Amino acid sequence: MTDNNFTFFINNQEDLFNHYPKKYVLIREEKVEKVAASYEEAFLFAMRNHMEQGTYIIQETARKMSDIAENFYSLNVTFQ
Amino acid sequence: MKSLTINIPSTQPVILTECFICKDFDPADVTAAQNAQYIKVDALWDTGCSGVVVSQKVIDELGLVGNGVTDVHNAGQTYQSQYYPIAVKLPNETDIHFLRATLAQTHGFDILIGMQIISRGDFAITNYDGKMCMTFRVPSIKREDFVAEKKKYEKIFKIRSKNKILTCPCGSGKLYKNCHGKD
Repeated sequence: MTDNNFTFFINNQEDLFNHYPKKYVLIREEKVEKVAASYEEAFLFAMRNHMEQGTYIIQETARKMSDIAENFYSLNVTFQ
Repeated sequence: MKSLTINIPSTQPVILTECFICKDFDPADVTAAQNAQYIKVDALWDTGCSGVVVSQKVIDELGLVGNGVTDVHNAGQTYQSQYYPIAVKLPNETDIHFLRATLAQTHGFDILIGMQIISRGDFAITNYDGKMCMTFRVPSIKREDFVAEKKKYEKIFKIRSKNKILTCPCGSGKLYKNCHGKD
């Protein structure tokens, strides 16, 4: 993943949220290449246009970046 | 419809299965499907996890490259992780695509199967007769509601009581009051 694309997303977050609310934006070379209704649509766009992994990012334009919770407890035993 | 049932030993009070992971690809692309390189890993099922979590080992083995960033909260910390596009093949041969996994330290498993996968189908854990069992099917085909089920049993029991048939309608052979009639 290119850091530049993520920096572009962070720097333009407010505009992106306002222009494309609750969408998935595909950013490549610091430009919005695709606005999709779902992650699936954005990912398939990248695949079908032969975009190399690591050259683009897909970010959701919803104010929940810090709301995603991955709660888990590590296992300290080995199962067979 | 594909389904999976796992009997969980009482010595292992967690749901641990094997599964296969690969870099995500377009499922409509036959060549990509044929060339997909899956690795076999141990999977922990966790309804308390909103997404899918993989270990660094999985990222390294598959050469995964991130395609987004998110904040991750877990029991002990908050950190930023990249999203890694993966596809998962469950033991019942169900292929699940368009998953975005985050990275976490794991012990005893390589992937945490959270709600991003569980919400694609119907999932239940039962403890009938003291034996724990997990079952999962994709896609979802029916709403399960234990409250509505209890009312249904009570209605059937009322009719059966009148006819002096007191066994539970679930077919266990036990008296209704000792089976589904228990509160």
